[in-house]
Amino acid sequence: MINPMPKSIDRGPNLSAERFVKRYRSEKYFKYLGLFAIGIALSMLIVLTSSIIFKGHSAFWQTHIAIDVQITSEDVASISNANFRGITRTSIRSEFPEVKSRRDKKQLYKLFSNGISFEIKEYFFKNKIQSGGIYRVWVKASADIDMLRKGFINRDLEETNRRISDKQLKWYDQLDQEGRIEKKFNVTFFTAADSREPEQAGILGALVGSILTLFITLILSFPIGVGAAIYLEEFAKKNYWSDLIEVNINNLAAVPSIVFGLLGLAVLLNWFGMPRSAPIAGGAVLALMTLPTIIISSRSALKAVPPSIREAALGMGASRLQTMLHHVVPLAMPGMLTGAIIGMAQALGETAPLLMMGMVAFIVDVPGNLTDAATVLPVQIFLWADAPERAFVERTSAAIMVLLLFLVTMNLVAILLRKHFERRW
Amino acid sequence: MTAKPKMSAKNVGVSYNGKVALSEVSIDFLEHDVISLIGPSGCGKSTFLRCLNRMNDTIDGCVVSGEIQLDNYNIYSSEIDPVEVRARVGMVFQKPNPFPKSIYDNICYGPRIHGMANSRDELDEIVEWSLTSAGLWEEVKDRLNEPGTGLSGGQQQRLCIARSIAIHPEVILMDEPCSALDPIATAKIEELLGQLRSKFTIIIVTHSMQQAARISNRTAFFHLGELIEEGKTDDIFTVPKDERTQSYITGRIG
Repeated sequence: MINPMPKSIDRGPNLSAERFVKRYRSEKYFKYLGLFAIGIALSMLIVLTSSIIFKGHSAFWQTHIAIDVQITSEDVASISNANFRGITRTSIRSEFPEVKSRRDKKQLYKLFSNGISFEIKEYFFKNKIQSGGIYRVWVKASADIDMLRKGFINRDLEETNRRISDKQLKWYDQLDQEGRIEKKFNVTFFTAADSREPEQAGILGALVGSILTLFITLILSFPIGVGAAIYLEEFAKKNYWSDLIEVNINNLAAVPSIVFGLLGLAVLLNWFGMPRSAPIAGGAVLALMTLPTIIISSRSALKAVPPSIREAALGMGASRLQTMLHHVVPLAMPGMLTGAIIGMAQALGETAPLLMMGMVAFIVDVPGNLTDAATVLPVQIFLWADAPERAFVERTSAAIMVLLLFLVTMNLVAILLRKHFERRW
Repeated sequence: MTAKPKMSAKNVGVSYNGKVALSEVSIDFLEHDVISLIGPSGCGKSTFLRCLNRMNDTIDGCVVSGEIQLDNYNIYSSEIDPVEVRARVGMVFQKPNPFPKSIYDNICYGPRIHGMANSRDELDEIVEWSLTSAGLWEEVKDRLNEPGTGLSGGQQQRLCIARSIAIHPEVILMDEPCSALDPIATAKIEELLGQLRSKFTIIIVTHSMQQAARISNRTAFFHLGELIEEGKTDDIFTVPKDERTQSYITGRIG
């Protein structure tokens, strides 16, 4: 049989130089386009992080003022009964003997944080001071003085337009000349929970709240999600119902998170009577939100395991469960962990459903267990961003830094775990 | 032949989602025999092979009819557990598929799940015997802890054979075990089959008629989902009874 070759084939491929130049040119353009896209993304990221760091770095430092505390030996002997409020005020007044009127005294006290009598008490208690006398103690300045020190308050404004009066400025300058004002590392930011006073507010409460909440989310969503994925992928018969379930899981992944919050409010809080604002309830809602992500990625990880491994194990007389647990799941584990990372990162940054669950409350204690009232990092950021005090601006950015650091640490752990599983196999 | 058959199929038919892949296959396999299944691509020989240890159960929509006896037990009866069938009827696949584990763990996976070894020493014995029987011991004895996937293709296939004989199956099914291997590795495996036949019954699917002629005692020819002819290998290749067999072995169909 004769099969005549069409002319187009007979001519053969066009290997002319122009065609090659054109082909390489478009390849080059595509490469530049990619580089441009990456450049844009990177510069956005750099702008974002640097602006956060620029705004937030000052929150890690807190202005302190040294005061000479006069204390009697009787007060030292019984620290718990001593009137430290009185001792503190007397000590402050003795630094500025010229201050007489009630209004001026009040202004003078406002140079300092209103919690300094506790700081001073703590100082004597911790250092186990046994004898009376004069001790120089560094205590926190008020948020306004802190802002002045950090250059956020303009001295040239009219007195009525700034938060610090002329008299306070005079006292501040006097103390500064004596070398009694210093910025020290802001320990409180890492050891305290929220407070109305910026200088006493810390991130620890929200950090612990986030850890507890995510712990609940992880222990609920990972086993359930992986279990569901294994069942759907390996054991369930493919029919109308399994298709319906699959479609619904995919849809759930796209449901706005506030809806999960409403669900949690209606079911977990109102029906099951779980404690309001508690990590256990918040974590459960976030687990519901994370489940679809984990199920979908676990299923694709299971699908990616070559069928030859399954056949090998089944051919050896392994049962289906043995095949799954000994061979398929360990091979799919890195992919499942990737899904868990994505889901947990989402959960860590989630605010909306927690607002519905009452985790937006003002909590001044670090939560001690899963049923304590708590808040989480993104909600804390939201609360501080909403606060009117200037000093909360830097704290908001600092809290964002803590959140990002937490995220990076969490991902690092997950990546190390994934590496571990990849190496074993 | 007076020996009773080790396995026998009676009127076996297979369909995938209603599409018939195999019909009315009846054949006996004798103990300690090597039987080749030959035929053109898509003729159902692999499908039939996978019926013999119920591997087709794992495929959705696959329906097997008829009866397959293993020592007079119908392996498709509802009282028989497919897991037990697969422990007694081992399988070696077309593409070498070692577990992504060490060579040692590859061999002892079967013995472990079937509770065969009572001590570490016994396990070591199993590994050494299996690898020696598969002609691989000398090559890998110093690197038992290295991954099985790091071996060459031929070595991997022998590892898979070693893995399947480690649980002492009565029958070994082989699905074109040499199709992905070079002639030297193929020769090694064929030599190995000659040694293994003293202990096991081997049923092998092959595309190479020369291979069938070299290694097997009996040969069955499949065509378009039917068993056309089964007999002594010499007879099939020299005096085939059916015209289609004649056409296939002379290269006119296939």
